[in-house]
Amino acid sequence: MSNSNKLVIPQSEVNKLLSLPTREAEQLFQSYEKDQQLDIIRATRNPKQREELYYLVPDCTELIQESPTEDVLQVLDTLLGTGLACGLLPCLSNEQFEEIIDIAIWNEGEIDEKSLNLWLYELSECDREDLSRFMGQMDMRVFAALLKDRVKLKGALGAMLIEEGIIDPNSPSIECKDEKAKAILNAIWEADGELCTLLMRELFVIDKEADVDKELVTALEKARAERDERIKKRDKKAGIKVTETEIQQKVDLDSIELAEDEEDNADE
Amino acid sequence: MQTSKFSLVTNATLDGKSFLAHTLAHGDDIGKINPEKAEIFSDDIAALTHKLITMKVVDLSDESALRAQIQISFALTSIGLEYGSNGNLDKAVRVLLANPIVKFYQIGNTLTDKLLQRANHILENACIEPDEALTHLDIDNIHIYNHTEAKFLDALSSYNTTISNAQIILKDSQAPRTFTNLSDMEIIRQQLDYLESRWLYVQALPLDQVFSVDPPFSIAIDPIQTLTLSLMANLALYYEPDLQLEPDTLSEFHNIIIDENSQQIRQEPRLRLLNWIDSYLEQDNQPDTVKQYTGAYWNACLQELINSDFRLEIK
Repeated sequence: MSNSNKLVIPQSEVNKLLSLPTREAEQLFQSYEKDQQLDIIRATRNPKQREELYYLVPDCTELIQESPTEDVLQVLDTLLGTGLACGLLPCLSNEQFEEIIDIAIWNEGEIDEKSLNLWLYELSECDREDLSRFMGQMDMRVFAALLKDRVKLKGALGAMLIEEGIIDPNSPSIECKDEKAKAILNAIWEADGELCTLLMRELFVIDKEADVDKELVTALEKARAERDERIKKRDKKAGIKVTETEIQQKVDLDSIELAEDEEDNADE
Repeated sequence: MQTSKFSLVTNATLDGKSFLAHTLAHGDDIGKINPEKAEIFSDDIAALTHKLITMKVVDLSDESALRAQIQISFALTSIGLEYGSNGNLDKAVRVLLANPIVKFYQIGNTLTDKLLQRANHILENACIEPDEALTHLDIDNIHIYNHTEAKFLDALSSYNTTISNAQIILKDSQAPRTFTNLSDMEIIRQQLDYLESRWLYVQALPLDQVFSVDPPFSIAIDPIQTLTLSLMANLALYYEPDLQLEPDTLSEFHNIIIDENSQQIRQEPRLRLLNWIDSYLEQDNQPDTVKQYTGAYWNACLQELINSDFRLEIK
């Protein structure tokens, strides 16, 4: 009986696989059907062990893309800040990446700058082609909010140069207050020049007759609203009825009105 | 109860001692919650918890943070149900069947949030600060809580408690555990009341010379207890509400206040001191709650005199 037809008990299989020498583990894991592999991966709750399982196939793109997004994010979280996440990031689908970013860089409705910085660092370690693909999935308004106090435009010509698309982050007209901000801008520039120009226009509110800070706050609010909408749709699909707004909602403890099961009341 | 549908909450179990677990069991006993309904509740709680994790846990690979968030979610939902049903299991079954689970989480969260805000306010602000004229001397603030109380206040920010009953002065603490029942909340509320009353009591004291006392109160294990006993000693010996403790004052105070033979506090000087502080707070228009707490606090401080540790601290 081949492994593809054999009944596999995922949890016991995990222990077996992880105790085998790499070569044998690869052979055994690859002898399973994809669904069985996914079952084994899902049954492995330790993200480090789950990561090891992904490496047992030559290309884990399909396995990653068919795993629950939160499980993949858990694995990536173990790698954040090490520069090693770029080994798995290219396996993500665009939708999965967008979903991950919607969870990872927001904390209780606000942007988590520390997390966003870590993600940008990991992304900057990716191939420029992959980076470009991911940047296309990210909301430039979020970047603009992150960088608004850290990047300044100097001189009267700067805005015009951005408008013409002939300025890069290393230009003397762009002043970065810290190295990380500079690295982020550079990575975006290297991945996609057009996108970087778009970001700088957003950042310096070019072509808009408005106060820069106000405009950026409004843009971020719009980005947040769109993100909330995406989350709602995904949650609905996953069978999650409760929303973030409901979770954050406070109640008046002095006037709590709870419905009571009618059938039971009738009994009484 | 076990949840399995949402990966981040896989295998999470509900604390069997929680009110929510009792309600589900009671619902089963009286034939109102069949296995199918129990499964729906289980999935709803799992969905709520899954959502909370994705909202609040920054690093999903941090398993202890996941476990903590799961416990908090279950605990707040259970506390909300207990509050919403006044702890009545029959009513709890009825409201559980008729309302979305998030409603109970909201109640539990609102209740705890109020306590957490109070705790945080005390932790950050409850101290005596030196006058602006003294800022150049780099003098430490004098906290109104001791180390054990600071630990208690700090644990609350992680939805944990370190006490099983409220005490006038917290001396011992337990390992932090998630609060799961309304009775835990009541104990926490009472302890916060005590600390707030102590804060008001301290603010009412004559503190003009408090930062010129040597050794400074800020280095004491329990600064306010030390301050209070210094005040009592000076009142008993010199009839002056002074805070500076001279070398022999404490031993003389010991002789006055403690009966050598019985190792008990003598009633007469004790009552004189209690009357003094009561009149003092009365003149200061302090509310009865503060006066009552302070009376108990002074008694507790006197009791500490019998404990030899305090002698060592002062020396």
